Amino acid sequence: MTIFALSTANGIAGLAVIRVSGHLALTALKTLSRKSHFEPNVMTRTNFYDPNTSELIDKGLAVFFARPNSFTGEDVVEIHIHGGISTVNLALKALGSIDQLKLAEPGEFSKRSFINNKMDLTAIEAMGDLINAQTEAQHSQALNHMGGSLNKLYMSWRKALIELVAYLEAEIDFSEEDIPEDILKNTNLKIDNLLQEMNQHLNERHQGEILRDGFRVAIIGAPNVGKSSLLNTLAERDVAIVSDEAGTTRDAIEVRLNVSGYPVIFTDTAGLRETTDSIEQKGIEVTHKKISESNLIIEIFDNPTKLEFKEEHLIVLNKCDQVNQEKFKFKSAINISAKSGEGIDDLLEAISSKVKENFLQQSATVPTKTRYILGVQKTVQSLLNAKNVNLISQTELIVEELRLAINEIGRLTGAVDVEEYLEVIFRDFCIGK
Amino acid sequence: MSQDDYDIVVVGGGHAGCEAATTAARMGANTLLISHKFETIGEMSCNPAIGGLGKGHLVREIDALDGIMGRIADLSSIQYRLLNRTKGPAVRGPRAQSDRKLYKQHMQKEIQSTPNLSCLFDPVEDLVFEDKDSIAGIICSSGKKIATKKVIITTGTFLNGLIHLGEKTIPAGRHGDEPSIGLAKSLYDTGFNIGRLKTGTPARLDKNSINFNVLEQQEADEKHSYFSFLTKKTYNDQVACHVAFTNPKVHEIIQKNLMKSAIYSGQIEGTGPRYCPSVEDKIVKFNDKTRHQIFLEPEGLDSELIYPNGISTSLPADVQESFIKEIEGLEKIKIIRHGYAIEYDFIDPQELFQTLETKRIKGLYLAGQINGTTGYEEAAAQGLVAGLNAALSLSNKEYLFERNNSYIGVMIDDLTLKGVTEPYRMFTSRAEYRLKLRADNADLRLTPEAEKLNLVSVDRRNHFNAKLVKINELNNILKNQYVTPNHIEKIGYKINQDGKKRSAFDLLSYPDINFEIVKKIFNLESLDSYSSEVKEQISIEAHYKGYLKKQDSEILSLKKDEKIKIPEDIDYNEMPSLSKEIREKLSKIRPKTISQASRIDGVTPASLSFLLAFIKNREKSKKFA
Repeated sequence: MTIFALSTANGIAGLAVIRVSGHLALTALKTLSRKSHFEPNVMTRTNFYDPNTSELIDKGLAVFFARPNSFTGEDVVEIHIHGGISTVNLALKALGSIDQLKLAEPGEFSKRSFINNKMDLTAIEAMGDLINAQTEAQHSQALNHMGGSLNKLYMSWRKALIELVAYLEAEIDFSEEDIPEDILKNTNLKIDNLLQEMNQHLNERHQGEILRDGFRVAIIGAPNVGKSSLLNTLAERDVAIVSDEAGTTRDAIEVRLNVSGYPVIFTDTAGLRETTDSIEQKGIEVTHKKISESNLIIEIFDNPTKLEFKEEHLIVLNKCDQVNQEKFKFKSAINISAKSGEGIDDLLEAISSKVKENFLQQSATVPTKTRYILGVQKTVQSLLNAKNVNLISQTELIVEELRLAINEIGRLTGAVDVEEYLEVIFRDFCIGK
Repeated sequence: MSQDDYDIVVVGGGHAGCEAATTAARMGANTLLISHKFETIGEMSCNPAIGGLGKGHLVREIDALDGIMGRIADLSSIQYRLLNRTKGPAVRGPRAQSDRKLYKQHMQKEIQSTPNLSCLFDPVEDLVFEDKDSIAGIICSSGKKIATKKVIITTGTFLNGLIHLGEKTIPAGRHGDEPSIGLAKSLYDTGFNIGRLKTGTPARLDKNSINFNVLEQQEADEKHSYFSFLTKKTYNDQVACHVAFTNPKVHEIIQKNLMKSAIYSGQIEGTGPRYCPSVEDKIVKFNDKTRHQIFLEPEGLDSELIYPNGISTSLPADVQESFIKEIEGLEKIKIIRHGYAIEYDFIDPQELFQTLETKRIKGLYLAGQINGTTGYEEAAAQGLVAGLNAALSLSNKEYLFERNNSYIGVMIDDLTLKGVTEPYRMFTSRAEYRLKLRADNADLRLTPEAEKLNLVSVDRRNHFNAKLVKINELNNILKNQYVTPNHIEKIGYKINQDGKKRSAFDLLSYPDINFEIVKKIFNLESLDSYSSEVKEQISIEAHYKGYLKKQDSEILSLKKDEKIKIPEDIDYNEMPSLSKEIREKLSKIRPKTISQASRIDGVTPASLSFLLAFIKNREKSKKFA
């Protein structure tokens, strides 16, 4: 197998270097760059494309080291691209989609370099330190990324898969025994359920994009309640045209702001009302789209007597300086004056806590790392393969596919042992003549 | 030290002992088999059957290495059944009911007629050591001393065996045999890590007291799957087994008398196998089941005994009698011998190298149930490994079976690296390369290895090579004939119209395309000249083609790790970066390669990398020193 991994630190940086090692390293580079020749040891400027979608990933540099004159002693390719999270993820995904290429396990590059006698004494001493550091990093990484509900989710899949395999193994290894005849009955249904959960999980990865694209806040409300004024106040500059005429904002206008260190995108929308104006109708359509894309909705009212809203919206009462204060005593609503700036700090505070809540929640349930996404995608593929196999006459092939699936999940959470299948078998069935 | 009396001495004449002794003798070693008495050589002390899932695979592998179990099992088979016949070829397991008497007779004949092999019937009382850590010989109870540098101990459950029959306990090995307390003591004295296990056996029933008319009948297969690749015919008449069931009345009697069972009164300390529970266990653990099946297995063609497989028990004799009589068909049962449980000591197999030589005592090998395994097949396979390696060690060589070439390799790897917590039995699910390690290709996997080791007879060599030539020939034909998808469709078979040409071999991987169709598509009249055995082998390979390719690439990466040896004198305490738990495990098991180390529970990738760095560092410093 040819392996690859991001060699520079994860996160936003000027540059990122992805290293590929193995006999297909050069092929992989050629596939991504669409260039047919690379001179060894020469840095070459090139574009990188996704081989599946043909989309441009990034422009960057690449260098090829022919074996044995490389770090690992194998053919090695370094891909230098810009250090954005999305760029790196796209490049890793593109590499992962090439047959016979896999994401490196921790320490695998060093291992290969060791096997091929590429390390000298000092390098080995340094590696000892590195591994210690790595262990700690892995440990804290495990705690941060895998300790929470993501780990729980993967473990629950793994458990479900092990149970499935155990039942199939019981049907194979103990076919002579007194096991229930309907033991295989729900196999496909169980696989379908898992597939559904996994696909949903993969879709959630778009939420991971919040981190790089920003947290989306839509400002909605009836016409002329002061949506654009609020945006202007927030942005401390005029971005939207404000007038007293209802229906002035016909497109969604976006402002990108930094709220407590997180990127937050505020979208001003066309006021929602019945209208015959076709341009305004278009604006309202855009509003609906923006609402569906947003992570938080701020709904503005200027009249506390007409409060009708959804629970999850953040409710703002505008024009607090003009309306009778007494009537503004409404729990969970934030009183502001977009014009005078009164109450804006409270609002920002409330938004900030929503953003934080969202980021915290997200790091636990969303597959933020390419490693997770690739792992789950491979698992899904194995499950799809398993469904194409005849349950009765090819039970062993379903098990084979499910085992591959368990191994993939196992790489994300921890190893698997045959003893686990046996435990389930002996717990659930009375085996033994 | 004077000249040795024998190159190799095998202690015990069970399945492990017989296979060990004949293997060593086949390798040309001057071998002695010592047992209590001639009559018990080749005894099937548990149920009268050989093979099954995983176990049948082991027998085929033993046979591929020219071992004796497969041939003897064929000579004594009275009911052939290929298990999982409706499933894929990788998980089909040959099995047969054996005539207990015939099995023993043929085994004894084989032992007596094996060149280089002598027998002695005189219990071993003690081991003789040289420099405390090497074997120098044995002492028999008659006082006779035998000098040898290689001893293979295959004494099964004889180590501190204790029989439980209800509340009674009798120190013994197999029923009616003396336990080997003297030999046990000398093994304990060497400091081996010892564990305790239990196993059980059911009552033996009088065939004439059973009403077979009310019982379900299970016949032999029509087409017989032999164990040995050399067997060409069925030797004995085939008989039927019968199936009976327990019922709520039976369960009630057992429930009521549970405290009289040795297992439940706390009298037994050993761990029993989960897959072979006593009837007491079944009823307690699965109390929602209203019935459990019992296979009534005939013990032989002219035997009056029936082995009721499924109701092993340690309940008192009178309780056994009363619950068996509640079973339909067994109302008038006459019990010839009552069931009992037996507890015995075993030696932690982590004490062994993969050659089955002990790490503590040079020249001492252990094989079979003494290592915590159960089953005739597991025992015989270990016997073969120990016999082979004891013989090879005479010229300082060894042969190690691997997880990727055999079930034998899987078993040895599991035993020596992971140890056992319950009697170890083979299952196909233990083999990660199950699709490759099939019963049907055991000869293709292992006979060439055996040839290199000079372990095979001329007869087998000729037979195997003739088959191999035919397989290669046919493979060549099939892989060099191509056809377009368009053409295939014209003939009337659905196939993906991707314009890619496919070979005749490729076509065989499609579920609805067989040799007859391939013959038609390619006009290959020559296919008729190949035996069904050869054709079957090729269609199975074609069937699993994609999966086998995947497994091969997995094996390749594993082999790289197998190449990195861990020096034998490595001191894990010099590696403070490893956790204490991992250091202790590595120090105890002492893996020989990085790959082995990676299979030990709890060893992390990070600790492996560190281990690698440490080894490399050591090598370099030695070079500079």
